[in-house]
Amino acid sequence: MKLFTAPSFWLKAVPSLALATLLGCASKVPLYDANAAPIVPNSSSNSNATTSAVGAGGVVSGGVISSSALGSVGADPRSIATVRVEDVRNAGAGPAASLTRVVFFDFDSYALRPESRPTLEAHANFLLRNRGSSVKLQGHTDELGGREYNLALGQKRALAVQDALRLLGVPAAQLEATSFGKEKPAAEGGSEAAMAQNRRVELVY
Amino acid sequence: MFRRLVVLVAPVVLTALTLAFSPRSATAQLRVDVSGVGAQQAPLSINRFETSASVRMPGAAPEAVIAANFSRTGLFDVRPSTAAPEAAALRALGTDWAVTGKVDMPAVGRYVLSYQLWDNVRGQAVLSGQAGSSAEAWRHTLHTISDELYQKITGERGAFASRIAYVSVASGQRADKYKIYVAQSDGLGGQVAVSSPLPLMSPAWSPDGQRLAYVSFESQKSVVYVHDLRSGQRREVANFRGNNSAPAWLPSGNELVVSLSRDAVSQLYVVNAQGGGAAPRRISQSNAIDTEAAVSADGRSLYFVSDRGGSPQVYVQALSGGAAQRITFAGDYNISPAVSSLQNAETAVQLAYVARSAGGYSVQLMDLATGSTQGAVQRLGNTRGDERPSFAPNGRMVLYSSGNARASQLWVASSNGRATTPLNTGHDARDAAWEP
Repeated sequence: MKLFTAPSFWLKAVPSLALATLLGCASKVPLYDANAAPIVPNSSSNSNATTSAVGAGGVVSGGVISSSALGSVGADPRSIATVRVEDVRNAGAGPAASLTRVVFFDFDSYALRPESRPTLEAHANFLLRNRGSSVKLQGHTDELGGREYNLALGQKRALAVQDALRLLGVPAAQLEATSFGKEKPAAEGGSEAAMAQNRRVELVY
Repeated sequence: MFRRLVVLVAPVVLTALTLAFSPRSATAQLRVDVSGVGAQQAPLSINRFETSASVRMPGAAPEAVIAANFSRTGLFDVRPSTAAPEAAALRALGTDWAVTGKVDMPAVGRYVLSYQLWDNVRGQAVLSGQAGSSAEAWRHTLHTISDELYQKITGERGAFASRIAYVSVASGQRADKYKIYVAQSDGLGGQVAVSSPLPLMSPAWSPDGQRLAYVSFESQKSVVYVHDLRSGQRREVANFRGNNSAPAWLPSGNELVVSLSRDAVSQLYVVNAQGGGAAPRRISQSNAIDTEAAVSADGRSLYFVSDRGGSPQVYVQALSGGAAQRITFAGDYNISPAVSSLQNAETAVQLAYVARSAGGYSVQLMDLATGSTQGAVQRLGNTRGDERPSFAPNGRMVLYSSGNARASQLWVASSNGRATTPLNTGHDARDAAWEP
């Protein structure tokens, strides 16, 4: 008995118990993976970790779907957990914060760099799984050159991103290509490093 | 080399011949050589205006403002003087013209300016005038007087009492970070027409001078507005999918040419100045960027920037339709055209634009005979980082800005290349437009 009252026991035991609980959950879907299989409503075999639903039953409503993980080992069957449904229309957050929302361009160019491809694929996946979401593709240039011509160049950059997303299957209705030209630099100063930061398209949800 | 010389000399010779056979008395006009590069400047004396000790001037001295105005045109060799205001004394100065005047203050805050123009060759006064002014209108009154003197000497209308509009950008994040000012032609007296925390650009004057069109990003994208200056009322005239920018008025004042990217890449369209969202009428035909339209005063020709040939260059096409012809051939980057006609040379068209070279961006001036697409080019001013030239209403001066994203200033260059003057607006100034 003394074992179960000793603080040191619990310090070691609780994490292990928690781990066992999690491992006992039916689903193997990791935390908000953009490449994960689509969520099926009211399925007891999936869990969506953007909500904290643990209790029995699932709720489907408008936005992100929360559902239950049955048979959670160690949970008190009489307790209930709060379901917080997130409306994607109001969330405005778009995809996970860890997904970069900017792609960069070379001087005088609106060609997509090869290294931008994974980023754009991730955004396309998000948009395909969230048909109510739309993204503004905002093109920018560095400070060199005319204001109006740069506005048009920034638009060509935004269109290059738009075309790439269209080719990945995203409907036009979810995309709008606009440009700020050289009017809204991300980096101040006239150095080449600053200008490289300014030649970009931002994906704004 | 010889061809260049002919192009430069021909207008001078032609003008001299024209004036020699003109039915009007051309005495005054002959002495102000209104044509071509390397023109002679007419010597002009400006006397210190007389005043009594009890009069306190509410602003700059009249002779200073008038002298600065005349100097900016590049047409005059302005010399300050203090000769007695009578024919013989003024003639003895040896200049072609003299301006004299006086300031009276009949009541507190009320001023009367008397002024005379003397033709020193004929040895007599040729103009005598009087203008009343409040303290607030002081500088504007001096510009009006300058216009009257200028018109008498050259036969052309003056541009000193006209207005300019420009964008000013403050540092840091503020509700009024971006402002469009309306100011006097020398850059002073600016009043804010509109301010915004998000960018404003490309102000463009309506033909009647009562409205400004401009681009605002206040809704997170470029939208063209038309803004009535007196009432402050404004309306959207182009808010289509994608970019809406580069407004340029048609002479009727009822329509504007704008650059829209609604059909993918930027093309030129005509929209109604009343707004309303009706379908715009497309007037350019290319698969490239077409933008920065400039309409000739007679409304017949459209100058614009296109990179259909692989790099941005200036083109011209008839507004009634037809193919576009390229005008700029030097260098790989020529943008921001402005077009003007000189009042006294009905067949001449001037085109100002910005050219990029190894040294940076600088304003150029090209003389074009009507219908021509090739012309002599001279560089204006001596700065790099130049932006958006705009002609004075009489075509004699070109307003532009120079600087970079962080700091910018306005300049005026005379179209004969003889005078380049910085304007002191008191703050950052860029993206300017001269009232038509």
